[in-house]
Amino acid sequence: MGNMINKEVEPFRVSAFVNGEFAEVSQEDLKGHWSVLFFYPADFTFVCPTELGDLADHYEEFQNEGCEIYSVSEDTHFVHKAWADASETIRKIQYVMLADPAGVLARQFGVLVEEEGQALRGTFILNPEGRVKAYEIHDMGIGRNAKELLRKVQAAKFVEEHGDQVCPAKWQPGEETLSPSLDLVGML
Amino acid sequence: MDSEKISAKSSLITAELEEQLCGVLGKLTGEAHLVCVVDLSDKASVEMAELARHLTGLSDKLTCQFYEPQEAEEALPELDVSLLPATAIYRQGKYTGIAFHGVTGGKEMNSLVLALYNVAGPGQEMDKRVEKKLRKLARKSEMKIFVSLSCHHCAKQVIACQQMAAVSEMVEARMIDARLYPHLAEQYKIERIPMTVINEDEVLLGVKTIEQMYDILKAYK
Repeated sequence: MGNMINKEVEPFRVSAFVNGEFAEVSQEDLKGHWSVLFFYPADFTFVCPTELGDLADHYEEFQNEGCEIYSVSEDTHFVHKAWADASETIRKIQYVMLADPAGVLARQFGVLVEEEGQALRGTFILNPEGRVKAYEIHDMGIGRNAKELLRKVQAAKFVEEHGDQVCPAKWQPGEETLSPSLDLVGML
Repeated sequence: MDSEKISAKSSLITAELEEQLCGVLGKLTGEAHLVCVVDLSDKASVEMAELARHLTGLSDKLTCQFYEPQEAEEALPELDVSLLPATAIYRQGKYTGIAFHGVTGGKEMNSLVLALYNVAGPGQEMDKRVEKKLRKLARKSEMKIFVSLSCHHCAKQVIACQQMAAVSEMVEARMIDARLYPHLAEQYKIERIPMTVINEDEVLLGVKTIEQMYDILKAYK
């Protein structure tokens, strides 16, 4: 699969588990606000609850940015519920847990490991039009950091709002003065 | 201050750059005067002083004068000499509202050269309608443009703000290299640049057009 940047989410409809309830979610639900699709291999595993709990701890900050989180695994919504019933970490999750047992979403985003029926740890930040603005894909065992993801969401929002006409201010005290360069083509 | 204390050759201006500068400064139609407030015990001040002396030596339309901070406080009350080095452009003995705090190295050399070009003439083109509106501004406004010398977007914003100042007596546009003044970076919570602070009130991020900035300035009564 090639570069995903600016790819628009394709039509889908999957079941979901959210705040103790079952629901249905389609591509239209991902539009009108920023979204994060957070793929993980499977429920009832060790690294996953750590990551999902980390996301749950920062969920309010994502909401403050107008960003909704959708975790996705290849389990059914019933398995999500069973996991929430069994795990205190998962029970505290307030964001939407999508169920993708047919691999529709994982295949669409290129993270499905077909022979294992599991998704790689892929994270996709979508703008309010449902287009991918940033993503990363980790191998199974490599965890992610919610705070870093929040920073990326903020950066993506910032660029959308201000264009690409800003630079991060990472100056270091004591740096040498840069040699001047003159580029006045078309300005005189 | 005796300008002979300052080298007329800046290590920041290479032979190639000097040739380019001569090409641009050769187009000047009027005169401009640079005032540099420097503390020669400070490396950045020395760099800016040498750069200013070297640059102004490339054109007979340009002159330069150096002040120690204490001298400037009394003689040039219109300048903020708390941020050194401070370099300001004067036209016919009057402060134009264009100033630079820091060394105009990196991309900011473009800002300095174009500011001189706009003050001395012929000046960059500007939409006549916008120019007329700028000349009618009723209230004085001050724009601080925080930059990094390596940021190419920053110079665009500085150039636009200072072009406004070259046209309107009511506009002051000061480039500030935030790297040199970390207390300001902290005070204004500068995480991205260019960041323009207007009248200590409104904050703009990124590059704006002159019309966009005019619309903001005119709202201040």
